[in-house]
Amino acid sequence: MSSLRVLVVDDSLSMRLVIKQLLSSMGHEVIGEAKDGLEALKLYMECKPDVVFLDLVMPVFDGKKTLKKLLQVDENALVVICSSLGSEQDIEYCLRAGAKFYLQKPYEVAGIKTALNSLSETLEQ
Amino acid sequence: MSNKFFGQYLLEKGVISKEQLLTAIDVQQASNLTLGTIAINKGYLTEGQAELINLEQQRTDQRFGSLAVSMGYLEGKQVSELFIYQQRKRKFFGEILVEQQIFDKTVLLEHLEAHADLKKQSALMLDGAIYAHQYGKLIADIIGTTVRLFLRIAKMNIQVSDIIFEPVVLQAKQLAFSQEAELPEKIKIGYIMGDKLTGAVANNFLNIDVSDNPEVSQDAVCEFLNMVLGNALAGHCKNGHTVLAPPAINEPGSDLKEPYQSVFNITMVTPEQNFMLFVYNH
Repeated sequence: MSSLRVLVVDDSLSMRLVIKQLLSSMGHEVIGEAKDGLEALKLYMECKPDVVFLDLVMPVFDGKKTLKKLLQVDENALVVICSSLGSEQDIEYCLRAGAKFYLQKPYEVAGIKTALNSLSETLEQ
Repeated sequence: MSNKFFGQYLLEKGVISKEQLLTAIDVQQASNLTLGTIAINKGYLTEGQAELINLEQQRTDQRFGSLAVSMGYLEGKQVSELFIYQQRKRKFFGEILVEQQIFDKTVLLEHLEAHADLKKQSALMLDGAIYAHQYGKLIADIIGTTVRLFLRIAKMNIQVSDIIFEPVVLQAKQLAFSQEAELPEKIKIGYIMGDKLTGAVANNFLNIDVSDNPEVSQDAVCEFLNMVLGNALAGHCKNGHTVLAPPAINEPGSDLKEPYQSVFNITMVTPEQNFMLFVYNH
C-alpha cells in the first residue's frame, strides 16, 4: 500500500494527536489539520489531500455540512468519517451522502487499516 | 445508598487506618503485576514490545495475551505460563490485611460478607433510583459506556457509588466537562473531575505524558466524554440522528445548572479518586 496524504479534521486537539500518531505509525503523512469545517474546506483546496479524516461533532460548521460541501467542490473526494456517534441513521446518512468509510471512536487500528487499504486501491486504479 | 471499594468501606467503619489502607494498596499494586510487566521481568518481551501491545490494546477490546500472540511477540504456551504466574502472585486486599495482622481470617470473612451484603443492597437501590429517572435507560447506557471506556481507555476500574439530587458547587481544581444533547428536549450531561484525575485520564488516553499541558489534558477528557455520549446516545435521539453539541468546560464559579431545573448527580468511584457524572434536564 502506498503512503497516503491525509487531512485530519477534528475540533479535539487530543484526537488529532492520536490519529496523527496512528497514521504516521502506518506510514501515512498528515499534511494538514483543521479544527472545524470551514478550515477544512480551505485546507482541502490548498493541499489536495488523498484522504480526509472527518469528525462530525464540531463547532462552527459540523461534519455533516462539511462532508456535503467537500463533495460539492470535489465529487471524487475520499472522506472517512471518524466520529463518536454510532447510531445507524448517522452512519447511513454519511455513507449515502458520499463518505467512503465510517469509523467509530474510540479508534481501532484494524478499522483504520481496512479503510486506508481500500482507499489506496481506489487511488491506484 | 452508597457503594464503596472494600478498603474504603473498612476505613469508614474505622476497622483500618488511612496509613494501613495506603500500605495495603501499595502491597497490592506491587504484587498484582500486569501480564506485560511479568513478561518483561521474565525476558519474554522488551519494554518497547509491551508498549506496542498496550497501545494496540487501548484501541481494541482484545486481551493483552491474545494481542501478544497475534502480533507475533509471544507463543500461546508462554501466555498460559504468564497467566498462571500472575494468578499465583495475585493478592486480594483482605488477604494483605490478614498478612499484616490487622485482623484474622475469621474477621476478614465477616467483613467481606457484610460488605457484599451492603453492595448488593446499595446496587439495588442505585438501580431503582436510576431507572426511576425520566431518562433512566439513557443514564444507565451512559454509566455502562463510562465504565467500559474508563477500563479500556483510562485503564481504571470504576463503579457507581451514590446519587445526589442537589446541585453541586465546583471546588477549586475541579472542572466540569459537559455536552448538550437534543432528545429532542435539551439535556446536559457531563463529568466533574479534579485535576489529578483529568491528568490521569488524559495520559492513559493519549499514551503520552501531558501532565504539563492542562489544555491537552482537558481536551482529552472532553473527547472522552464525547466518545461516551456518542456511543451511549445511539438510539435515544429523535429520528435516530444524534444531536450533540461540542463539549464545553466549566470552571469553578460558573452556574452549571443554568438553565436546567432537574439535577441528577451520580458519584463514580475509582479505587483512588472520585468524580461525578451529572445529568441536568428541564
